[in-house]
Amino acid sequence: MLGHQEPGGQREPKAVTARGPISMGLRMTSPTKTFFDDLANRGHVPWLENEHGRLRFEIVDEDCVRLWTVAFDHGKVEVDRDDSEADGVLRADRARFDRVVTGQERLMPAVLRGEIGLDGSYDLIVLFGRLLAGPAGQTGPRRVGNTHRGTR
Amino acid sequence: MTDGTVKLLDGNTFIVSRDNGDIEASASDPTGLFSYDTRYLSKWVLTIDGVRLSALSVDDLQYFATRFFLVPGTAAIYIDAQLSVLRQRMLCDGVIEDVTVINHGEDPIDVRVRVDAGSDFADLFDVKNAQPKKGAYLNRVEDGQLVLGYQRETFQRETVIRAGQPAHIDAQGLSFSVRIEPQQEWTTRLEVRPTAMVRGQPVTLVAGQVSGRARRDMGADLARWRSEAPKLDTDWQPLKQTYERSLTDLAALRFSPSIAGPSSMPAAGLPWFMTMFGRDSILTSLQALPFTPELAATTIRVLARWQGSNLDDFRDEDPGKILHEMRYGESAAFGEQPHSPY
Repeated sequence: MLGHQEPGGQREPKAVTARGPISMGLRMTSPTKTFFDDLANRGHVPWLENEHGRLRFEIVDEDCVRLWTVAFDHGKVEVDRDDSEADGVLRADRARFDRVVTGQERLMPAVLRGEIGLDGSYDLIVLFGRLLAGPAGQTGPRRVGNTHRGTR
Repeated sequence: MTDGTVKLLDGNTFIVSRDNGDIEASASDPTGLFSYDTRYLSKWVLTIDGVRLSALSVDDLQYFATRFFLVPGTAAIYIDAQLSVLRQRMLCDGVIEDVTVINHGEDPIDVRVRVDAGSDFADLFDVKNAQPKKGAYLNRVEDGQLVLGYQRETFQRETVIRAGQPAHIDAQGLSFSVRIEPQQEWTTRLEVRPTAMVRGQPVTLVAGQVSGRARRDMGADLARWRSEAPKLDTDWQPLKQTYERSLTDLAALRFSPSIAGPSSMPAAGLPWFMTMFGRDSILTSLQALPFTPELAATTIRVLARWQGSNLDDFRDEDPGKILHEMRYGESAAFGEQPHSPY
């Protein structure tokens, strides 16, 4: 639904790869980095066996853009730090994305609010959304007295 | 137009107007141009020399196109038989409206054609509940276009209105001063595009289409849809008509979520339910399975894609659970109601 009209938003700071001069320097870790590190170690994911494609994440952190790519390869999830070609791109500020990967905030409402930009394959991005953590401290199916109802 | 309104739709985008084509919505009145659960036009009034028009007739051409035959004045007051107006409207990635003023007289006429435009950017849920808005309106004239804007924090929606003929544009509408010779006509095209801003970039919100592409050929799409369905061969004409009409109505109910590309699934109904619903989309697909199996294929794939993956009490989400309803408006964006995507 929300596709960028022109590729490579011109207002974005210049991209710096993991091997670049400043990208991995000062900040030791972040929820975003931890999330991608964990994802790289996730091993075989059975429900991704029929999936194939690559997503690029452009996470704006102060003055630089930190890049991750996530490749789905028939059950394997590979995480890299380069700017290789991708089927879909997600752009976000690091503080926002930190909240998304830790389940404090949901991905798609942030997209609707214009805080997270998407480009390319929405299909893969929705698939990626299922790898994100949910909110903490939920009751689950035994929940009672849920007052939120649908419109019909 | 059984209730005096004329409705056109194109997936998640629809327009509901009076029988003269005008829109003048109140907070709780469900007329207007809607796209992705947001009202992008709540005012759209055509006048000639300050006089409103009344409908002589309305041709429902298709579910996405209609034609209004109009004359100046209200039904009770007959003003000028020398002049009539044709308003042809099509929905396709927004609104395309061709306004034609015809001088039937023996003398040239000078007229002022005016379209008043405005939007309250009501969320579909605001319209149902008459909720006050929390953001600010930013209407302006920009690059020869009228831009109606709304912003709440980073949530930004804009209606961009452009005219084919030279116009005087102000923040409330567009005016045209025209001379029409005897037995001649004057035409302008008006284009209305519902737009969202994402991280500073304008994005056109259209039914399952990525922005920047050429407009779709709606007529060819409907013809293809009908040609791909099984043919009914009968000499009983009412049955044939019912079947043909049902195919067209199913076509109108189609909704292309962004993850489905050009494929479509059935929405639940106009005007409040032009979005994917777990229950409605599945049942309609099942009932239409012998005739339009592509609906079921898309429905299964899309709903499976959006299935729940976590526990979320607010959204009633559980792993593997199929969504109830998906919404894209302001209240979903700010978590004020739970129908945002999982």
